[in-house]
Amino acid sequence: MVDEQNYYREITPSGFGIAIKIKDILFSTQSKYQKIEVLESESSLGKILTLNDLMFLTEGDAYHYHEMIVHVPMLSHKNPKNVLIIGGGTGATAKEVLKHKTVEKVVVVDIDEVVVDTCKKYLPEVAGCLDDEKVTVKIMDAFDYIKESDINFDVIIITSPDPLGPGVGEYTSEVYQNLKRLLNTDGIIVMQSESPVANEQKSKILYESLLKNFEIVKTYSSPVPTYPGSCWVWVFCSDSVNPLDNYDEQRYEEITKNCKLFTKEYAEKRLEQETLLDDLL
Amino acid sequence: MEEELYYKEITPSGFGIAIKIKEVLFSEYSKYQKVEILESDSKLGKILTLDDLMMATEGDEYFYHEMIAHIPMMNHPCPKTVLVIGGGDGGTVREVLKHKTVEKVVLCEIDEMVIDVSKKYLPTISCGLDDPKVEIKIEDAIEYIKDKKDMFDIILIDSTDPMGPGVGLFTEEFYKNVMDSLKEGGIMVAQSESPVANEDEIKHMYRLLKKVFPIVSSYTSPIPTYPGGYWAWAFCSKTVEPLSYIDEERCEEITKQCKIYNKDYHMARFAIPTFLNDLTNNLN
Repeated sequence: MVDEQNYYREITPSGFGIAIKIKDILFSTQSKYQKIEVLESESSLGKILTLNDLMFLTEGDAYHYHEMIVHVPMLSHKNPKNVLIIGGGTGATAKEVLKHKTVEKVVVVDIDEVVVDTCKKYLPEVAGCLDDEKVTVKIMDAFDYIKESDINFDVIIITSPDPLGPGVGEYTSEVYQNLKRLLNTDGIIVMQSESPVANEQKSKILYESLLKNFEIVKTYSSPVPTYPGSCWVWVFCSDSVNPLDNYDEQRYEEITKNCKLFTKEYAEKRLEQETLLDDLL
Repeated sequence: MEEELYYKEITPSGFGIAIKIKEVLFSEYSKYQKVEILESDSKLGKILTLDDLMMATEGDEYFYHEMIAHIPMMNHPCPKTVLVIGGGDGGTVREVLKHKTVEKVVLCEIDEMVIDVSKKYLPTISCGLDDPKVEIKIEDAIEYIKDKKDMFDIILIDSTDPMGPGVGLFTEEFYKNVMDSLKEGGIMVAQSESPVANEDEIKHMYRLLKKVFPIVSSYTSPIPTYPGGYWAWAFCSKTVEPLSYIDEERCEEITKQCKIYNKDYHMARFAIPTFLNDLTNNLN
């Protein structure tokens, strides 16, 4: 929420919080699904998208989250052609996916058309890629999409907080069955799993269910400056591919050139350092 | 502090933190700065701020203190003498004392009020300050360091930001004296601000450090309650490269006593993001 002194403020129940000085509320609406706001910060963070008063992204630091959620699975796959992004209505994830030249088709599923339209209007740098000819945007419940689709995907990225059920970690076995049905045998699923410092319990439930459903489950973390608690964790899941398998020097170089954060070494070390999953379970 | 009792701190680059506050337990001006202890309404517990800048919360201070201390301590085969500059809350000293090789820790803090307030309100952070191995010097580190040639294995600059009383700790002359105070094989680590929020300060600092020290590297780790969410430290030495030494047994010993430090985590710290690499290396 934006307080009386024009600070966007967000504090987690565990006490970690962020504050950003706001110049203007550019857009505020209640869609069928959620409250959507675009705020203009007075700093290098630029414009900010919040959903239900929770930070979704800032123009200035979106790369911290999206480079990490995208390039780790994409570069671990030997030839990612078809990519599904669940909850990617902002376009920020698709933008990173499109940096990979192997990509032929990106399906973005988002339940809320207002998010897509809002981002196209106010965050064109981020959402412009949704008009790329390789990208198909499906406005529908992701739960229905994964049930009905018959496309085989190489990489599936679940990027929004709780797109497939009542909350992270509470996916039903039907959801897992459908995700696996859509995934090629050497496919990879990556999802965000909240802040390890702010949401320990939620993370634990998620990891337990993932371990039951995938042969390979690995977490990795990197700071996201504008999320409360700042360290963020993603989970890499596959039945046959380990993170950063299929090393291809040329592809890494190409991606690194186009990134602010990502390097092979950075990703490798983020995966190695992670004892969080072991500790939590 | 404002009426609705949120501690808010926003950097000029826009990154900011907010913490709900129950009560201001202490607020006074020392000779050098404003010193406050706030009580949060969460597991962050009590909070120390200096000149309205976040120093430490009881709930997450280990993110900072484990990182400033154990990375250099573990990279030294036998750290016996350690100098901590600033760091009056005692958190860095507490971590240093976890190393059994340590015989003497000198804490050089300019502001006695920081030490007194930390001892009174933050016992879990300041608990090492009464240890017999610890010598507390209430004086300006700029003066203190001048005649301490070849005295320390490890020097940790746990300073405030490059403004206020800490500003003299970010000069070429000071770094030169620090280097001369290191013994053969010694390592200096200095807090070097937020990689995302303090770009100009980082450039300035690394430019100076590289004029003085033959070896200057940067490492990072998240700090949930600092604006921008993570922090960089400068690892500097005449002869010692980072990650050039680690003793498995000592490492296990320290890991047992830490919440984030472990060997893999240590090894990962020097893999820094591209933008920080650019900041600390392209310094023309």
